[in-house]
Amino acid sequence: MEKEVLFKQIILVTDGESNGEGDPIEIANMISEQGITISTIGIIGENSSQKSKYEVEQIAKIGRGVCELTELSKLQQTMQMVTQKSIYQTIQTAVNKELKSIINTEVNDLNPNSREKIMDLMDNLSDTINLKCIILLDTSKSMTNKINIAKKSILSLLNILNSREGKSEIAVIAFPHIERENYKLICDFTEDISLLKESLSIITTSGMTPTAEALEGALQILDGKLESCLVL
Amino acid sequence: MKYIDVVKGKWNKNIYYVENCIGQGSVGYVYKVVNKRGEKFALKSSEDLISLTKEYKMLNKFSYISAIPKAYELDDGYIQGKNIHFIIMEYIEGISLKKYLLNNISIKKTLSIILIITEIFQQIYDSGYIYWDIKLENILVDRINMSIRVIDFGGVSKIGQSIKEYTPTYNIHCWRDKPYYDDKSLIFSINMILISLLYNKEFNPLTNSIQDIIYKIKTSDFNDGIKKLLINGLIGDYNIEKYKYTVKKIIQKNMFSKSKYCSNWIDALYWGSIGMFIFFIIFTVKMYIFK
Ligand SMILES: Nc1ncnc2c1ncn2[C@@H]1O[C@H](COP(=O)(O)OP(=O)(O)O)[C@@H](O)[C@H]1O
Repeated sequence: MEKEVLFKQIILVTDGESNGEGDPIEIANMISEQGITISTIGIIGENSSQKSKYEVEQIAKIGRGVCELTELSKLQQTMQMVTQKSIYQTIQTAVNKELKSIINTEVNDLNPNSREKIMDLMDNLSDTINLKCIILLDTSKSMTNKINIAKKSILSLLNILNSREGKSEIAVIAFPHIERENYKLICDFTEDISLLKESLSIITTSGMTPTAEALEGALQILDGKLESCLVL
Repeated sequence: MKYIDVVKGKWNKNIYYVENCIGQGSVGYVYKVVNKRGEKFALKSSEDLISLTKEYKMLNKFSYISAIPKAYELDDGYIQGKNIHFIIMEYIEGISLKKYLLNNISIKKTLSIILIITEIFQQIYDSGYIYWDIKLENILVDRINMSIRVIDFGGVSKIGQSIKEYTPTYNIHCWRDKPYYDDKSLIFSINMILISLLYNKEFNPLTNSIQDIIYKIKTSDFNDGIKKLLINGLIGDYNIEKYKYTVKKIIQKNMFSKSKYCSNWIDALYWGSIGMFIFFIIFTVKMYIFK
């Protein structure tokens, strides 16, 4: 049986720092060990704290993903950019590992002419691999005025990703979910824009920001389903 | 002249003196540089090797289109404290259409610009590629050669491959659920440029809907031909040829504003003075008769 090449990513979208019980950095480490990339997007405004910026940067670092800080109005492009960059980054790391073992060199050490073909190959690969992306959306109280734009941004992200040759699926986890539950899978992996739209419409905002618990939930959801796949 | 930095290419060993930073894009910084002979260039730097390599390849591939900046070399170097990759390309002495938003340009001139950029993007499309990142900032009016130039080729993809760089205002997928990955989406972007230039404003899909804009157009005092062009472009009704044909027709027929008889103030003056003249004659004739 041919194995599909799959890129698994979690994108954390938040406007503040974690104030749940667990430690998000610790969970990020655990997820990263499973070959899943965690990228983060911090929505910043006038009263964003230094601590919240530091936290998203650390999570992405440990998750071997990309971190971007953005204002709300650029959230949409930022989501796509983060996805694209982290795919590139992961492919580049994998290719560098190969090159290192074959000719003991990295892509950056090759001259521009010899690396052009490799770049081409990597660009094509980034387009053809299948993508499973879980968006961890902060739905705490502070997101109230931002949630509609966040929903629209997620929809456009799927629309843009659908232009890829490979399959692109998005799932959405909202955290917290109402008062009691720390997180909830709002939409399971899908390529279908109308299904995603319908699912997103039930999201409301309230409560705290249990980032660690939500990350743990994302891991469980990714873990339960993806065993027959080759992970980059 | 004081330079803020000096860059020496790792592979080709060329030296460039950095004058200033002229732009920051999504992938890195663009600087104005000069070489030893005092020739000016634009240096586009980035840490993203895949994207920059692709841009260099695209610039070369389409170098036969005069609107595209000439690319000279791709190299690695150390600039402003960072190891980066860079492209050396023609420096364009121009202002972007974004700045043109502030000036009021005539509708005729605006439509002519649209026709020119449509031709440019069509040439790229006809060779099997789509320029996805259409936006005002990427279209420059070259003041020296008096021509329209297009920059930023990092977002050009083969038809059928994915969209990698884009701007929500000009991308149909940020406005509509139903996707188009062909020349209809290209025309959507170009038509959106036209709308921005006509309204001196960029609409944002996060806060506006297509319906809002259509309503604005319908209730505006543009001539019906232009209204139809704008609306059908938004709906995704045009392929490249049909759009070009419609724009040309509007320019040829000079149909720019609503009234048939007073298409501009000169007409108003003309008809006004004739009216005055007739009134004057009648008045004097009356004076004669009743004297
Ligand atoms: N060849 C050039 N000549 C003059 N200015 C340029 C040139 N290339 C880029 N610029 C300036 O730099 C800015 C950013 O360049 P761009 O290529 O759009 O970067 P990015 O791909 O990172 O978005 C442009 O808006 C423009 O002002």
